[in-house]
Amino acid sequence: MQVTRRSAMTLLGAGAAYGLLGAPTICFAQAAGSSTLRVALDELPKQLDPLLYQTNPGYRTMLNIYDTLLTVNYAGDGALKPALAESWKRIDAQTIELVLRQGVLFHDGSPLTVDDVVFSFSFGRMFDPKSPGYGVAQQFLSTIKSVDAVDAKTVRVTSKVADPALELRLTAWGSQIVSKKAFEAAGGFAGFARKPVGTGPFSVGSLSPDAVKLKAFAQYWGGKPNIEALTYSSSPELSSRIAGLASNDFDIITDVPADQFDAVTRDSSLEIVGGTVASLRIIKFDTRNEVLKDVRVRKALGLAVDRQAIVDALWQGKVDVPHGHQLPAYGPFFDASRPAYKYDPTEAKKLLDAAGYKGQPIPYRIRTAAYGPELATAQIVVSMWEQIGVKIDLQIVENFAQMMAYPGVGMRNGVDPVLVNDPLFGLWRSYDRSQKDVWTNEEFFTLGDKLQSSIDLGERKQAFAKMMDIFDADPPGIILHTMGVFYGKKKSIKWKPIPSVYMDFRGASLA
Amino acid sequence: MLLLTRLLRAVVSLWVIVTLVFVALRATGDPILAIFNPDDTTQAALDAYREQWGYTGTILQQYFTYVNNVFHGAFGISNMSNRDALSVVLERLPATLQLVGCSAVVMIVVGVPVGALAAIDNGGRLDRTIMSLSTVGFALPNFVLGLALILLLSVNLRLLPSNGYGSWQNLIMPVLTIGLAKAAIFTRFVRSAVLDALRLSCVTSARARGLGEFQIFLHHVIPNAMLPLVTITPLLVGSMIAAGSVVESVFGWPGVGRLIVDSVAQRDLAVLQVIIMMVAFLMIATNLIVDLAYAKLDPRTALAHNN
Amino acid sequence: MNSDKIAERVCRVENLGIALGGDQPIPLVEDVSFEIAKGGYFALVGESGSGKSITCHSMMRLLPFKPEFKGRIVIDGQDVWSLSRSQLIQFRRKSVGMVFQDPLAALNPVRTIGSQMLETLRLYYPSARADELRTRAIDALKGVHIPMAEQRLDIYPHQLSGGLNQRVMIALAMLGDPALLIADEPTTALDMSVQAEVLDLIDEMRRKNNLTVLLVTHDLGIVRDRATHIAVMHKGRLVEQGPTAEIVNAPKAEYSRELFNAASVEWPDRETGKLRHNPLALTFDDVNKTFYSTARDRKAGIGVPAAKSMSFTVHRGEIVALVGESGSGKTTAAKMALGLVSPDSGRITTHASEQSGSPKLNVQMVFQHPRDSLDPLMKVDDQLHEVLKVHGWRDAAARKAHIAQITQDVGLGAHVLERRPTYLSGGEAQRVVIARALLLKPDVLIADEPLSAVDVRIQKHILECFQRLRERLGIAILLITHDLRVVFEIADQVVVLRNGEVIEDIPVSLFTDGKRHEYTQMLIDAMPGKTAVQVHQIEPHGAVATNGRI
Repeated sequence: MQVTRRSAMTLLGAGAAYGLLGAPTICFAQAAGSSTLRVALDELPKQLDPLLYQTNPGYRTMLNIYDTLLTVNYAGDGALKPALAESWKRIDAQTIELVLRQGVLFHDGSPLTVDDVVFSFSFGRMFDPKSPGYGVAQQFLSTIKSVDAVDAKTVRVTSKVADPALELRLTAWGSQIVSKKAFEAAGGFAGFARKPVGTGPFSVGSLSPDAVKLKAFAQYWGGKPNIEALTYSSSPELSSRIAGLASNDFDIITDVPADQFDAVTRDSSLEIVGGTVASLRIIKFDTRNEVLKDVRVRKALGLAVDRQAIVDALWQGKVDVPHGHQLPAYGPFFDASRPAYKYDPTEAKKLLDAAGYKGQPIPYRIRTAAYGPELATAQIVVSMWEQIGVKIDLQIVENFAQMMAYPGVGMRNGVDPVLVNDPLFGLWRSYDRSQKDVWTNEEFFTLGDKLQSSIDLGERKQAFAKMMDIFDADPPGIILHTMGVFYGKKKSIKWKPIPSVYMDFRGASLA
Repeated sequence: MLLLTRLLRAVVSLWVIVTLVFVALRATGDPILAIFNPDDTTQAALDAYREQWGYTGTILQQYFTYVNNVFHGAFGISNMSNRDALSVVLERLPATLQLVGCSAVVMIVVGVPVGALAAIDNGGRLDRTIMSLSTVGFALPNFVLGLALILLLSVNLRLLPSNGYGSWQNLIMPVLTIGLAKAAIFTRFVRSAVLDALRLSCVTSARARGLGEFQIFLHHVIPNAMLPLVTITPLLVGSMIAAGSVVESVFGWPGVGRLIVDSVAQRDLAVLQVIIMMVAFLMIATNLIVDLAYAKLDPRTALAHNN
Repeated sequence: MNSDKIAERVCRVENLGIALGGDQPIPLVEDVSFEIAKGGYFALVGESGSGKSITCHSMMRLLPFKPEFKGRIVIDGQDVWSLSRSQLIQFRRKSVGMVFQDPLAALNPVRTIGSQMLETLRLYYPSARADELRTRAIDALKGVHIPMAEQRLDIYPHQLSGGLNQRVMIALAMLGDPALLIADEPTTALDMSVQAEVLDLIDEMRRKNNLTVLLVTHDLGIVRDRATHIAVMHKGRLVEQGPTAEIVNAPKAEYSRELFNAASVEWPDRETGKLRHNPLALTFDDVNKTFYSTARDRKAGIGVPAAKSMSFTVHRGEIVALVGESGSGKTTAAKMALGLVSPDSGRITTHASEQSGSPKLNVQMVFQHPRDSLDPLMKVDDQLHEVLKVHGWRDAAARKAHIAQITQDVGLGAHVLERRPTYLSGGEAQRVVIARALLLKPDVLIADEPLSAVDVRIQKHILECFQRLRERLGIAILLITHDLRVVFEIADQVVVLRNGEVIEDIPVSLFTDGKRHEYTQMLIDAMPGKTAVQVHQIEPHGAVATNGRI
């Protein structure tokens, strides 16, 4: 279906559609006079409280409505930066204290106080299992014990256990600061999610099923945005999004797959931006499978995959092939000297022979609508494996329930997301004890405990390096490449995406 | 009495549909894993959602809770939007009604005269041209027609906005897409209904009495051709809601059709059940109206009811 | 009619030829010529497909297709086929009136009688006030003897009986005071007792208005009593025409002779009483059945009785005719005998002979419309084999032999087996259906109006077929019919039904002894050619005094 619709677009779009493009200049759709940035999303957020909604539409909108106490340098090395807290101090393994920035205003004009911070992290909002926000809070904030006011401008964050990543948690999804007054006035989650009040660069004008309209917040502590308004429109159909960009109904469109780059750039006033984001595309092993139990088979499967070939064929070379389960944004944890993964079918065959592989078919389950060109990726990988004599039973499934269904497991497609730039939220989050049925390595688990609880940077770096070694020596999966997110955009729009699923319009401007 | 049996039948069919939806959405496995990607979401969070959204206990218990809620009019909370499902659907309703209503008008305004012309020219060049166009019209997938319109009217001519909702300009292309596709089918129904009516003995007999062709068409052909059309029209209009799911996606139209697709993908049972109730209610109401209209248009059925 | 020069001839058809257009035109009517004198009553007679309807429709240019036309039709001084469109409309309004076969279909079902009459009257009185037109409409209905004419204006055709609807049609046709009335099979769709009334009405119109009538029919019975002239059509050509007496008494053309022969009523000269001593095949014993349209009606006891204490017997080798008008319960009786409908009370017994094993198979049915009960896409042979296969005939050779025997019994040539039903004539199709019913060797064959869909000549063949079957196979036949001529021709015993009640159950030889129930007498009177029938007197013992054709 997807392919058909895209090819329809290509067919219809070719020549005929764009031949005339240069000529007409009646810009009917542009909102008269105002500097509104129009962004087309495949899906709009249905609510605007981050504690209720942790998906792409939320990432793309709410980052511009709310602020967190701390943030990171997404565009660069991932280092911590002050945000609503202008400074912070580690007290001990379980405690940090933060001093709030003064003069920060909410969209309703009321000033940010410690009460708002304490309320945002309150039991009733985050940690009560009956709270609708409980689920999202469990993602990154589960170790937090309490957030208390020390004085009028200082808050103390205490965790239940020794937690080296406590600062990073305060940058993570769910830790956005909301206005206590507005939340209570709205009568709780349901009301507030429709009329949210944050401290971000844009305030919410309206939220409807066809558009989310934001207005620049003149008193934003980080400086007034360059654009007056920011409108997110819903345009689920890729071809329509591209057409809407070409017909000047949109300034920026999201989710353009690599095979549609040409459809966008055919118009010389448009370009593709974006690239690698902090997620790793993985093929995951289930070691309960009789064949995959043998580490030599798993290594052989990894050696047989020519990663760069996939990246070149399906991603136009615009995503990276990482060296180990790490990202540059890990900062001090990033080991630039780690060697690249080898592509060596000969070696792979030897390993298979040594393992006594006799051509037993290995199930490989994929969800086609999952992460970009899934089916194409699977077909390429399967043909690479066939080269070394591995027989694959490719199964296309609809959802994760079918993906995980045991027995019958083997390999599956997956992504290891890294929403917070620390291996704790990357490698360890994806391969901790909760998935021990699928893959177990006691040494890895012990090292993971250390990574999670030690606050000594050197000790953590050492543990992480060893964990990456184990990942490659006793592989629970094959790292293929980083994920990519690409946007179509008018060249005249000044906006630089960050290597993340978030969209940040703080610095954007219309030319 | 008649109304009562009808209502009873409606309740039973509603119950069957509600059950089917439940089964269909559970048959594909754990709904939580259909909504969340376990690679993205921690086990603790998944368990929290399972608890909060009532996916605990045996399937049978879940079913009874579900049916019980439905029949108490508790439409529940939408998982996707975290607010009551009824308002989620009602918010989308005006857009759908606009789209379906206008498309129905296009379908009838195009379909009736074109179909009648084809019937009058039965076998002639005009008839064959109309029928070929009609074949193209209903063989063409909605999204192809929709995209073709966007490319022509938005990208090339810059006459209409490609996406969005709110102004009359936004309405034109989606309405044309659905309206013309359905008109292609409707034209065939009109043509065959008019052909059948033209062959009626009462038309020959009117001709024999020396009535003018126009008068015969107006007073004898049309009233008889109306009968089958009155039955098919609500079905076609109903199918526009389904066609809406694709067209709404193409044009970024915030209607119920897309909500259905999203709700199935997100296993949002509460929203789905509201939509189903609403569609069922609409269908029951239209059927009643059709029956009443039929009795008005065909005195023979009115007699059958009275006896 | 106001032109003196052509007053003599109201209608003249010269060398009429009509063909279905196309690359290779299919001739439907060829070289037909006739004239109708003013005040004449001209009957165009032929079996279905003979071209008689096409001929009469072409006289008003009402053909449902665009024909290739040859010759000339002059009516009321106008050359019909060279009239312009507007002249044609005027011609239809003023010169000719037409009455159709099925009055219920010829009237618009979704509009009231009144609106259709007013719409037509408006053509003649364009400036008249509505109430004035209404008065005229009422007068017109009164003119065709419709009681309570005023109330009829506001009701719909389906609320009237067929006979009254046909009267409305005649009234409509007469509104323009035409010179010529064309009646295309005006009584075929009507009940026997009503047919005569409608024909009488046409006679009356003719007398009162000095009207010329063209009657198109397949029924010779109604022609010989009324028409002044008869023309016989066969395969698109006129084979013979002349004054009624000449044609009836001495038909010249071979085809006319055959036609008249077939339509004549043969007086039974057979000994019928002795068959009553044969073993029983089927008995109805005090059978009751009432139909209710709703549950409420059932509770209130308001229903339509289809059988009231119905008792009669059918013996082996006997042909029993079940006679009555529509609604008399004939078909319900057949369905009950087949077990398709169960009676409210009473017993229906089928008496199996030794040869047929399973009792439920020993009653078989032949339907009114043979083509409806045959698969149009399957060869006859295959359909017959299928029936046997379903009932366990495994041996193909045995099946083949059996089918050959049966087809011979019903008088079908072997070539018919190789055809598909679409390519069979009506008579062949009916015999295939009979053969199929006989395959399983039933004891009782029920035939529901087996002749109503086939032509007179073929009727004869089928009746002969029934005769042969009962003689050769000793089969009992329950023949359901409204046509008394068929009864005279073939039945041994007659059971007359009215509203589900048995009015008569007598040997056919007593049927016209003049001592019958008034309802039976009414049926006899309504029969075309009744005067001839009544001439024959029956002796008390049931023996036949005169023996001949009428």
